[in-house]
Amino acid sequence: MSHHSRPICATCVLPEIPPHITLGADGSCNLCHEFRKQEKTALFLESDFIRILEKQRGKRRYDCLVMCSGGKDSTAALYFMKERYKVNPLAFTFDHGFETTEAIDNVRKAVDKLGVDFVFFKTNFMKDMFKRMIETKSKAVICHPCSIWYMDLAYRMAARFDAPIIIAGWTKGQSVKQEVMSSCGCNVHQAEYRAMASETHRFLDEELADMPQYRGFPRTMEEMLKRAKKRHKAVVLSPHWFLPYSPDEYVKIIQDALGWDFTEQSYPRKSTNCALNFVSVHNSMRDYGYTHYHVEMSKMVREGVMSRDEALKNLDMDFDDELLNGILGKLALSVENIR
Amino acid sequence: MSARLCNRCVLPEAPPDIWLDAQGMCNICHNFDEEQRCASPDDRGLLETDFLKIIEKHRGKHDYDCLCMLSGGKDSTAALYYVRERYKLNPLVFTFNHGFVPDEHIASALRTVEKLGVDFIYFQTNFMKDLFRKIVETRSKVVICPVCSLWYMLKTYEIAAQFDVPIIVSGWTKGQTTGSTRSVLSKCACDQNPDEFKAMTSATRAFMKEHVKTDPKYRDFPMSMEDVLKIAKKKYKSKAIVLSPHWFVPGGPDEYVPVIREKLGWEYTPRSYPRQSTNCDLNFLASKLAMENYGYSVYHIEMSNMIRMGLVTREEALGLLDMEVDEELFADILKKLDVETGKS
Repeated sequence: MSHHSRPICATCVLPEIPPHITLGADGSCNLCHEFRKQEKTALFLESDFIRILEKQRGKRRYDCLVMCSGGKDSTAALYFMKERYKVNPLAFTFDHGFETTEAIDNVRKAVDKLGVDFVFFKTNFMKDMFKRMIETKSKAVICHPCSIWYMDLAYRMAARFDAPIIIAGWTKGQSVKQEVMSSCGCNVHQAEYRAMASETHRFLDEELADMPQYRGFPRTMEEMLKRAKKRHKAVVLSPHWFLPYSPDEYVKIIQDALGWDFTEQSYPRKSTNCALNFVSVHNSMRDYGYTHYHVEMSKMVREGVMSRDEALKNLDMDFDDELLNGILGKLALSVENIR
Repeated sequence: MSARLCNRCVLPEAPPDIWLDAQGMCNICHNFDEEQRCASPDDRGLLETDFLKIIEKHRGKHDYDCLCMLSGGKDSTAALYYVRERYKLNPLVFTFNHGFVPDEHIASALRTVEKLGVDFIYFQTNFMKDLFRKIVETRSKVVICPVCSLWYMLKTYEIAAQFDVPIIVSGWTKGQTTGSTRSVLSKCACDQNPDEFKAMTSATRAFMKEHVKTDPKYRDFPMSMEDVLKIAKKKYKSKAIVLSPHWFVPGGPDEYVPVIREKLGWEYTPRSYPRQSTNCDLNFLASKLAMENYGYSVYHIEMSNMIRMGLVTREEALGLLDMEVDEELFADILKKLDVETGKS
């Protein structure tokens, strides 16, 4: 069956992909059923967050390192850290060669307006790995090894600038409550990630042997975290987990206060992801019938932060080959490589 | 500004440090000739083999072989180009912004790192703004750039330490150094003791004592370049050495500007002082104030050095150093510094 004709859960936006995602008689998937059965554990409270911040405040040159992609979530996170919590942040943006100028402009506007220190790091280190993943038609999701790499980079930056807290712009949908603090908000062991995670693992294990620059590249987020924490102690948090604001509310705030703007084109809609993300989600749809954004938005639908209709609209794929060719061209590839 | 200019370089008569003889030539030019005459054959200049010896000692032993300071201007762009293409080193490129670097310069730096495919770190902060404002508001005769260079050199050492880089490469030209190999390598090329720097250096010292050391925000600010080196060693445990390929490679801008234009698509930025340079916006103000206070700027010193070395002609230098006063730009800079215009 083509992935595109699979039935979609009546509650969230995940397609039926046995054995990990199955639909029940009511048309809802097993994940939604499990969610309903779950005891409603207490949400994070802002006081928890403040307690952590106060423990570190003012002891070092920077109270925290804020990871800024230029998107709405991380820009709002930077805004909240500076204006709501009055800590002294170091804003940090990385570019692996696929960041858009629009996104970087958003970051620069924000750091200028907020008057915070800013460090930007650009490297081609990951390019060969991206190319290998695409060329070999690996089912590994490009964003996964990339997130292991950039979280490692964030920890290294936090260590270099001696920041005790790393702030990410992760939304409620990007976290699984209990585990978030210990695994960078990214639990790849959930049912809906299992197939993707095992492919990523296989790719990192088997496909990089002839590329000396990736010797020592961590195989999993856990492995990366274990190593990073040995070098430098830092906790990773997102203010979005603790704050009651919906994206609509904080988008308004950062538009007014920081001159922030939506980027012209992005997947999902109203997000700000790197250009390679278009290729990544294209390949995820090809290989799995859904993307990690379907997982994230399904969580937000279940949590009641987003409606199913809005999620479906945001997840609609409306980009063309011309766009993909432009991006793949940077790796000397074309759409022929991703068919 | 009616002071007579030396008829060989571009320095004006400024007693007691700079004076002209009966023939119209300044004491700095005389000293230069004297040094050339007395120099032993092995101290006459820096040789490329000296540079190679240093880089070979470090090549491949760290994540990055060197940290290249890049302003986006011709000198630092060419220095990076040489490091990458001529010496085949693996550099980390570093650009800083204290809030007064025009966007075009950063865009130029980004284009260059993109073309060369090298890693890049950019650091932006408002840390220096209060200090800059104080210089303007107190009408101190201190020259902004030497104070700023203390900050950015320390920052550069810190970045070098953070990324474990053994060599710092700058784009300093031959005109920005004086003296022998030894004196250059040990003080970031910033020997501010020669006669033509004396007045500026003493104003810097006075300002630092009175306004910097007493301000809690700048308590740890270095007082001199020697101080920078001390802090770098002690606090950052940095043993990095600072070098510029321009000291070792023959030729000047006439030779490397066409190269970076062709290979990197580099272009001159629309506005800068001196002309055909790429300095920050604050530099306009710094140079204007230096002209008012001393009758010459640090660029007059640099270009005078280059004239003596035969790298530019006196006419070229005079053309580049000519200052068009752009009142609008000055107003913008002062506004950015939150200086009330009545005060300047």
